[in-house]
Amino acid sequence: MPNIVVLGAGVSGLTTALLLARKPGYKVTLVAKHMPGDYDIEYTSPWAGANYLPMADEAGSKWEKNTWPELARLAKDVPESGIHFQNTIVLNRHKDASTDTGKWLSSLTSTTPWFQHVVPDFRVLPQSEVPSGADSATAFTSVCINTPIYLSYLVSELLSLGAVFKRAVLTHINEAAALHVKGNADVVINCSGLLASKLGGVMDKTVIPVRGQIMLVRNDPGSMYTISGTDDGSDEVSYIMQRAAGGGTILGGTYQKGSWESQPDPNTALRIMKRAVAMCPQLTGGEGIEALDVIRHGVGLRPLREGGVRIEKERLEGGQWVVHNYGHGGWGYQGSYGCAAGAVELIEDVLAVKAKL
Amino acid sequence: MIKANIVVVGAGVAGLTTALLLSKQKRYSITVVAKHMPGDYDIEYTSPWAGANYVPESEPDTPEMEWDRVTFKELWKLANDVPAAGIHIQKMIKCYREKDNKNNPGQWQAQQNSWYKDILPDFKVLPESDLPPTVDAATTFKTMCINTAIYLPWLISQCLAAGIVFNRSNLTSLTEASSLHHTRKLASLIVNCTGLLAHKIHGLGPDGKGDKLVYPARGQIVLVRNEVENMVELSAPVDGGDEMTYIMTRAAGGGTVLGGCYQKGNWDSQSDPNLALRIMTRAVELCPELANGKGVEGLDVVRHGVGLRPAREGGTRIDASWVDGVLVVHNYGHAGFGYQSSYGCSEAVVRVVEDVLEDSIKVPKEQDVWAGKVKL
Repeated sequence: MPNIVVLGAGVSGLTTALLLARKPGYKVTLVAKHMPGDYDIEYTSPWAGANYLPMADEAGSKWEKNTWPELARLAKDVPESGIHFQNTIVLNRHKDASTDTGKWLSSLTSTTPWFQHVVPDFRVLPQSEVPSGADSATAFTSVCINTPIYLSYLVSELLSLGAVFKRAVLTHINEAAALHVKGNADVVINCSGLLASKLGGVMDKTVIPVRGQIMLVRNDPGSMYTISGTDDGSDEVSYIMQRAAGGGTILGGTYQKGSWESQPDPNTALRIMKRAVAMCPQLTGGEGIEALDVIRHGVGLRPLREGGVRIEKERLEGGQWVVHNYGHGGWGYQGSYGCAAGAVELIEDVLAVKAKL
Repeated sequence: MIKANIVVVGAGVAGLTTALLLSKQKRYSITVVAKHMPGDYDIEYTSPWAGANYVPESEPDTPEMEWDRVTFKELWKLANDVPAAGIHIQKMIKCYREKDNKNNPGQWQAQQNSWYKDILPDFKVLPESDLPPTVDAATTFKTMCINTAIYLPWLISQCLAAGIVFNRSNLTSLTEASSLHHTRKLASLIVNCTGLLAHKIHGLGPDGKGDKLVYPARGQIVLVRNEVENMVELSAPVDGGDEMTYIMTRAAGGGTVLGGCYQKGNWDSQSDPNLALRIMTRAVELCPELANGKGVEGLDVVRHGVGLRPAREGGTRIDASWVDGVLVVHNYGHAGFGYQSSYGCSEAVVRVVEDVLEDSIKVPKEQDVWAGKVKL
């Protein structure tokens, strides 16, 4: 009867907790500073779009590859989860090949990407269908996740399985185990995201924020769009996605490494709007940005870990076993099930070791 | 039974519950059109700001009491059988203080005879030895606290599972909704759950400029991480003014809501820092275990918030009218009892919908409702 504490209620913590709670006999307590329903600059998940646009190279593709089947199943069979299929158009500009953004998105914009047989309907668009402003384009069927609904859906699933939620602020990871409803935990899963850089006993300074500014509008784009780069700077990007269930349409964005700024910049917002309308005139029916119906502006800090996501087990001084699952940058949702499964494997290793002791 | 395309306007607790109950009739195709949706925090959108809990304010032998009665059954079922909904059972300690009731003789008597003592379990007068600090008397009973951040998305999920389609739109007039059904066919009927925005939406009211009987009753709250075992509240505003004291811990780690106030006609969306201090101070005074015996500095604040309860002079409007040639069934003006009357009101609305679809000739025009030719 393993007792597990999951630290963090972002998409990583919730997904890992869900996979554990489904295993017979596992008692899961989820401890977090922020919970679904909150909007806080320390809590990335509610700000995300979110969608499935793979960013990993082939070598690192396992996490995203293993997540697609579950997201597709939810989109197809579980409307309650707030995920829907969306046609996605990926635009490529040859001049972006040497820029930061271009390199970041090079897997996504490739005409023969590793995921071409993972997602449905992958195709290279004929030149006649490539919009002006791009040199080539690919398209496929992806998903768009209404994140406020999906995060709450994960909470609901966990509650149905008997998981317990506790709101707490930890100064050190050693405090986590005692917060289990049973008073102790066999394993603590550390899904602290951005706060992994500040949590005592972890203090991972290789975790940095990558600031993403967005806006949510009521307009309908028809499809999801993204492009390899923009003319507004190497840290500005352009993407559009409409959330399921009337969730509104996300317009992005920025990719600003090291910025902790929580307030939306009004000039960045204007450029985001301008780029969105240029990429997808259908958004405003051919009119300009004044035809955008803005719900709100927002900023999320993607929790990037230089050197890659940390999914590994560790025994702390004092003997507490911890499995880490943090540092997902901008691919938290699209790698959620793959990473959670990886964490669960490590948890099972730890429990096997403990059983032998 | 008539098959019909229905558009529900509004995605607060009223709109979502009504859409869900209509879908259970299995003869309507339903689209929910709304300006704001769960996930949004906006001053025009009351539901996400609510605590919420179940403590009826309705008078005995009124339609309001019936709505509350019906809703109790549904919420109690969810609290017991559906943890996914984010509702848990909590003991309530409803406190009476003489100094707050100087203008209200008989208040304590009335509190002991609340009609809901017959439906809420374990209702009794609290023994003197158990009274919280500063309190002269109290009733206690078991009731429910709803984590609205989980419950509203859960309602959306139930609607999605029932095949309801959601459309995010900002309407210029109420009747614009009739052309927004997801089948692209004209809706047979609109259900108007616009809450606070009924005050200004075009089409409503005697002159089509909105229902001016709707007014905000401003509520300010503080959400903290501290948890308490029981809900506690004062049964009357402090010193008979418009500031209230209530404490409730939401289910599923949702945090604890400290309130509040009931400021009629106040549209201010920003939290007043001095009122926030008073709310926190009173909460800690009434319930010292909230801050572990420390003062206000022992509170771990998640955020401050303001919600505008959509109150309506004359009470909630549940009736039907022709608005600019479109058949509309109204369900708005629930003030501070939106959640605790949600299922009862929605059931009543389902009956009105069935009646008017059967025979829409008798439905009055909106202007005639206001001219007093037809009783509201």
